[in-house]
Amino acid sequence: MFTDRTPRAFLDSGVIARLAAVPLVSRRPMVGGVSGRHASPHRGSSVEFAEYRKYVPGDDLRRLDWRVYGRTDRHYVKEYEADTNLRCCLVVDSSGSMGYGSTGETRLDYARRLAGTLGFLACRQGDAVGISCVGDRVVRHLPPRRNPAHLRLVLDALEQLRPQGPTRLPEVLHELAETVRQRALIVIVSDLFADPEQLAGSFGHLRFRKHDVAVFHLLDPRELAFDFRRPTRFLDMEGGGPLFADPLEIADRYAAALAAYLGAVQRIMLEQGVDYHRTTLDESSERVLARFLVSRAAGKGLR
Amino acid sequence: MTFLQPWLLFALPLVALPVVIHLFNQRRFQTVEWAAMRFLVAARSLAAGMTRLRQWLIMLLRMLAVAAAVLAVSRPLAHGWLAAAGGDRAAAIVLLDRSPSMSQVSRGGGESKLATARRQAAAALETLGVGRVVLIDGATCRPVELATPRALEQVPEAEPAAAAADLPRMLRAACTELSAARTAAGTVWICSDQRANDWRVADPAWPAIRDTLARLPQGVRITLLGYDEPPAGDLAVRVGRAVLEPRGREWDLRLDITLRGNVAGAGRVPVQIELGSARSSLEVELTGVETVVAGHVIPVDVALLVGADAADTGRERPPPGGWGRVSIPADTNPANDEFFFTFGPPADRRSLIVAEEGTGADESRRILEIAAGIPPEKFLRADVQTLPPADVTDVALADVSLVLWQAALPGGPVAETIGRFVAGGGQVVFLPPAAAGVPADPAAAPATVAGLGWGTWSEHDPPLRPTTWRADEGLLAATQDGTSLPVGDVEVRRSRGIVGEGTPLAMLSDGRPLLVRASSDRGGIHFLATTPAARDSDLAARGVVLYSLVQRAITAGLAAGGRLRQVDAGGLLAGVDEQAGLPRGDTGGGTAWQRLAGAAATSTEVGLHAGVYAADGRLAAVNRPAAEDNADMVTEPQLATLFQGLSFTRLERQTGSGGLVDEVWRLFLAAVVLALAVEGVLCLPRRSLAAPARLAAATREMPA
Repeated sequence: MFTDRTPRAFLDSGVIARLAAVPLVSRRPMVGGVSGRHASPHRGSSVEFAEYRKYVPGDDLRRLDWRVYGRTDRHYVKEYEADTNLRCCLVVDSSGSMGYGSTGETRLDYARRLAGTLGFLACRQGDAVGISCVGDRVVRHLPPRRNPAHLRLVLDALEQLRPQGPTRLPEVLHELAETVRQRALIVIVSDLFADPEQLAGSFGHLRFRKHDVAVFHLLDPRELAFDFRRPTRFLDMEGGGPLFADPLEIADRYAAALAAYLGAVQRIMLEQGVDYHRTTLDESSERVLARFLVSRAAGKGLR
Repeated sequence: MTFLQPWLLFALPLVALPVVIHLFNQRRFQTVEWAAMRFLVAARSLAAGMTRLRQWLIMLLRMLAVAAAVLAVSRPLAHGWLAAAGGDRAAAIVLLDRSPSMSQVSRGGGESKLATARRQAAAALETLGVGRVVLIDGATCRPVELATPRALEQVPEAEPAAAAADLPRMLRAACTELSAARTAAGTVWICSDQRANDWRVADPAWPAIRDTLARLPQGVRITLLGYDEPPAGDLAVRVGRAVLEPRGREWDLRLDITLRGNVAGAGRVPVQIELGSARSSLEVELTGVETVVAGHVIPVDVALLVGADAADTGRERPPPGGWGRVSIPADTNPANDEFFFTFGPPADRRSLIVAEEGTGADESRRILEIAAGIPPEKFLRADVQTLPPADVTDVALADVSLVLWQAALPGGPVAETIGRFVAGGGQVVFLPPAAAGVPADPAAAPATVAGLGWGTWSEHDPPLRPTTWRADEGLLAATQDGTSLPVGDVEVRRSRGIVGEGTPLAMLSDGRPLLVRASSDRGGIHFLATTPAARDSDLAARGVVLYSLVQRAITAGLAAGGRLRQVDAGGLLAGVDEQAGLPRGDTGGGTAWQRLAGAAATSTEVGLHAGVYAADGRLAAVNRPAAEDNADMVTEPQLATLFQGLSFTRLERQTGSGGLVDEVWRLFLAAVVLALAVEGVLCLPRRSLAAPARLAAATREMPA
């Protein structure tokens, strides 16, 4: 099926094999070009009964329900749900802050693993996969395509991604909401270091465009623990000025600001119906993805 | 603030150590790349004011701890006044008032003012590390160098004495000492209960003392340890008069006993009278501040009494009289609860009038003979003799109490004879000779006696009257019941100037002295500026003043110079041997006073302690001066005036209170501990270090 045999450091075939047992499904009806395993807003030819409809001239007579005609002497056509494929847009934050990591790998490395594995799984089940690498702008954009060759480009794009520049995630998400024309599963992998209120607007925009939005919020354990002891000069990875602080002095207020931010993000995600996954970098990416896939599979069938 | 090790204060710049460490710590920061800058920025802006305040507080507390530690090791001393006392460590002169009033203890008992003063002064000087301590006690006014400050509590010169203190004289001695030791820094500590009679505010020597102290090159700091607690619950007993009066073939002892003090609700006080081995007592109902029992009569077996004295004194010749002791129960001041007295058959009141024949002084001489020849009591005998100046010899002056000298001032051997007479307790009143005052032989006749001499005659028309006179002491003092003598009624028509320095006892309205007491002697020489002759004054017409003057002088001469003496402690008995050039104590064959009663004292302290002494057939009862029973204090304004222009600090102390100088390094050590404890509390992190870990764990469990 796949022509790409290039080894990718961020892809683990064992993980992919284990996760392949759980399908990647959309929480919302998708408008796909071909048949797939995702719900569609249109009637189709699946085995899942949808509704009866009065016969109109031109309908395929094979879909006429003769039993109903026999009982009621009326002509009804039996309609079935349509299954289609989805358009999976991977949005990977490539700002400077994604280069941070205290566990041995950077946040971007972790994002590569998540996005790459998801792209691989989506492509494997026949879905279209595209990628948008965003920083202060859309650094690179590959629209969703179904063919495996396109997946190679996506993986190449992930591999070549370098963290740099500031974050303008809200603006970029607005741009993507307008760019992606059809309904799509938009998977955002980012540290979300932006104003929560602005993020709320962006996610609202995506929701308005009927996209199924999933977010992997990547946080480093040290960002949560803030266990510095000595006076420290903090260099902003996104190009801002340095900041000198005694961690012992500001640890409490740092924790308060962090908790307030996380609470706000959590609230916004709930309000906007975003599939939100807060992830720390010391967690296993396989476990994170499994949780993601299982939670979505459990909600399959909603149309 | 005073420090015992002030050089350690050079370590005070260590106060900046926390700041330096802080700056150094800031320099050894680490640099990390950080993504979550938005939380750091928020943390810095969140309640930054409080954090900054806390940081400043922590820094301040650290600096405070260092400063307190440095101050603690510098051994600070308590009390702000010690800044004045602690600066000079080379030498200190302690003026110790050891008069009977300093034996006062507080009502609750405990130690006396004197013991407290000695203890506190010794501890203070020891703590201050004073190298040289000179003690000048109030009784002798002699400087005694002490080996260590603690010796102040051991030397006999600091023991309680019956003599009153003489602050002006003590300060003069201190001035002399300070002048002699120019290199020593001048710190004068005065330990006194501020009794007015000890301080003698009216003494004309005060201005000179002030000037001397102010001019000392090394500068003098005076610290007064004032123990001015009022003498509550103190009753003093005194015998005013003790005379033997004939009663047929027997003799009665007639005593005037005075009880003085402020004892609320005392009621009746038992008074015990001891005459040798015989004791009697009487109950006295207190009627006020002063209660007088006049003429208390005790029958006396004179022969038995004299025999008992002879047995006690051993080799002494039996005195022509006896001695006794009056005492009351002990109260807050035991020093004035007993009084010694001598008594005997009344001595003849012998007077000598020295006048030159044919100089127009006959009228005056006759008046003086009358004034001296009439005894104040009918059972007394008075004897007056008149001699020309040249015939005045030791023999002629034997048993004479008063010399009324109306002739040219004596010189040569006669002056020496008069000097010995005065040193032996005799009284001399010089009246202006009628002549112009130019002696026949200028070489033989000195211009002055005891620093006083005659000036020129002045006529007064209209006559002058005395406007001021000393009614508290001296020959013109008020009577025992407080009535003043009518000195102001005397008219002086002619007077002769008195030159030299003395204590004026009466002043005329134009400022000339009428009666002056020589200051160089012990009160035995007086100069009267006029004569009782009618053309000079109306002293004869208004005889009360002249008669009182003459009779009081005779009484004083009898008390001090007779065979039975009543002497103030520190007075004539203590000074007689010194002035007469006689050996003291038992060291020679001269006057050796043997103690018959009273507190034991070293030979150098004879005459300073209350008791009865015998020598050469004479008996002397030594007691505290009468003024000691007067509780008047020197007031603050008076003190300010006395030490005006000098570096003077008064420290009020309580009897039995703690030390003067307290090292307070413990307080500073406590400040160190407190500062460090508060700093530790402030340094505690606002939340535990495990909290972020819990937050991280909770994040993982958070449902998506």
